[in-house]
Amino acid sequence: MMATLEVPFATPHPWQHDHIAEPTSDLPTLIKRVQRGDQAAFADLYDVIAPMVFGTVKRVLRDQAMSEEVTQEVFVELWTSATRFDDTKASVSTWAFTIARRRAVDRVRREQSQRRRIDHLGRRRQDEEPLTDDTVVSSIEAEWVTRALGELPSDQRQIIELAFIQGLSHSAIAQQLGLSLGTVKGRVRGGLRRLSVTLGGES
Amino acid sequence: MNSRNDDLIALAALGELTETEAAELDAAATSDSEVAAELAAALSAAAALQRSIQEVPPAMLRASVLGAITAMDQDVAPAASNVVSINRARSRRFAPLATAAAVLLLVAGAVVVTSINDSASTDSVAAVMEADDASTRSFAGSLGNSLVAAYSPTEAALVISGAAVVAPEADETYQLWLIDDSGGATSVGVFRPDEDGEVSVRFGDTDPSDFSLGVTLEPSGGSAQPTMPILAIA
Repeated sequence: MMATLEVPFATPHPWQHDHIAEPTSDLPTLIKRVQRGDQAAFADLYDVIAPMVFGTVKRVLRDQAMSEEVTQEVFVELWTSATRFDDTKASVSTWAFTIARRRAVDRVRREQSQRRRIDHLGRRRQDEEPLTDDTVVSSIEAEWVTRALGELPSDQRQIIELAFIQGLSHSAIAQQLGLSLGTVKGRVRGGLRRLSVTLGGES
Repeated sequence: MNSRNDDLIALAALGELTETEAAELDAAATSDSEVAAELAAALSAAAALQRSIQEVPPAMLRASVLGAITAMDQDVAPAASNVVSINRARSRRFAPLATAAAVLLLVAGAVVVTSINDSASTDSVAAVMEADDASTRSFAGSLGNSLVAAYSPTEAALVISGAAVVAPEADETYQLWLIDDSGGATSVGVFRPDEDGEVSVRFGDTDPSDFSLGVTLEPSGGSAQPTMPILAIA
């Protein structure tokens, strides 16, 4: 189990709710019930956020079975750590997304290490399951994403799409585009900052 | 906002912070409200992007998840508030007879300890610490601020390293545990700092990736299960 980043989140920006709302307005109520150990409420919470969690994990892992395993790990962590969730510091979906992305990235790292070890032993490398671009494109439902991404400079938009739509790590993006790691991180940071400004008028 | 914090915020949104970087960003966000606000905004923007790209998981996963949490308590992963001082732990040092019985049940094969003064051991610890795939965690608690754990999959080993660690009494030892989500503890091994207070110990065939690490003060030789409060947690 990796330690969870505990940071003092600021109050969520208004655009979170105005432009791409939380999956349901019942989430704050649900999470309070979950924090009291209400498993029925956790089942309801699962129903609401599972598509977002699974989508996040699968974008990174690109493997159905592994994505299911990690999604289960994410929900177990959401359950066990729910009592530490502070709704004044982050929204439920931001909390869940943060855990999902971190868990997925951790799994990628473990798999890569395992693969290096296997390669070292001279075994055959297995091909990665390609990301199904059609699924990704067809599942982009909210117009605001396309609109907001369209307002980004092309270099930032490309990086943001690769990172959060395609689920690539910053090192994979750097390798794919022939950029330095610092440039990729800078464009991720700049892109997210612009998205915040575009959608909320606040950085 | 400096460029270092910008880099860390980007990595946080990508879910790619190392333990050390996470601690660094946590400290920056705690001391600087601007960093905290920027971090929150970046994470919210990343989450909002993801909310627009959803994929329904298989129905059977729901049953699997809900089944998994049925017998699982919340917030059982030991938190920093559960960590006690070494003095408080020592006050419980003379455990009841049951503790002695537990010590007798210690499975010899479960404990693998490397001598900390062995130069070969120092090299083997360094090999893990310096491995390309090494991940590190810092311990919080009463054993000093320098105690870290590092794990390398390629080395297939976990190491504990630190300085200025308080020495246990002659009839005591520190014991390292893997602690799972349900609070179950599995012994990794026992260790002691050297006469200078330095700890440098390697445990083979131990993958802590899915566990918390806890250190307790136990009777010399170690215990089958923790008999003392946790002194440090990572």
